[in-house]
Amino acid sequence: MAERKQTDPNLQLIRQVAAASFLWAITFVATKSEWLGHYDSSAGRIALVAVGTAGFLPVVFVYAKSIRMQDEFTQRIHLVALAIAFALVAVVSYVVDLLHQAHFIPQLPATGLWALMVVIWFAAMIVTPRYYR
Amino acid sequence: MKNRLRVLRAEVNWSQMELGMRVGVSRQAINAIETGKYDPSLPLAMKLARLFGKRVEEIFELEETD
Repeated sequence: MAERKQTDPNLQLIRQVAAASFLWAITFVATKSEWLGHYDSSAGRIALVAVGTAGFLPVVFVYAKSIRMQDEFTQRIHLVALAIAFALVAVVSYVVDLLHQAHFIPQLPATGLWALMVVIWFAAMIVTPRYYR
Repeated sequence: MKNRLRVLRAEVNWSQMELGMRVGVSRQAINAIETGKYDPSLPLAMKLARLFGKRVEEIFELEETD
């Protein structure tokens, strides 16, 4: 009987992260390019949203998978870090909206908010384990 | 919650890393449990108890403040 080749789960995850990131990079560039960035036709607008969303979802999936593969303690640290990121982004988005309403700043893209959330999440992932030492 | 994990681990002369590998968690998780900064889930507590041939309450004990 032929033996089934076992793949290291971590190696498999790294490959999936690389593939998802590559796909996202391509779709990100595509949505910013001229040929997809046409807002004249309905088809072009639908394609813009569909391609952008389809390229981003695998990134979310592999990150969720990577967290689920961790032990319960690391998952706890992720949970705390995400809670910190969520709270800070809630405050920032609220204040940014008020600043915009008061005409202090222009309207900012929503994409910047989740980018900020990711940055805070990663920073909290570095800081949070210090509490448990 | 108090626990006797460090003592039990020392008795069998395992490192935190080795104990973590035996129950499927990281060295940091074992360290956090030993220092009382993290309370393990029930399945993990039971795995630890089974590994040391003890009952869960022989390893983990509630404190007055819990």
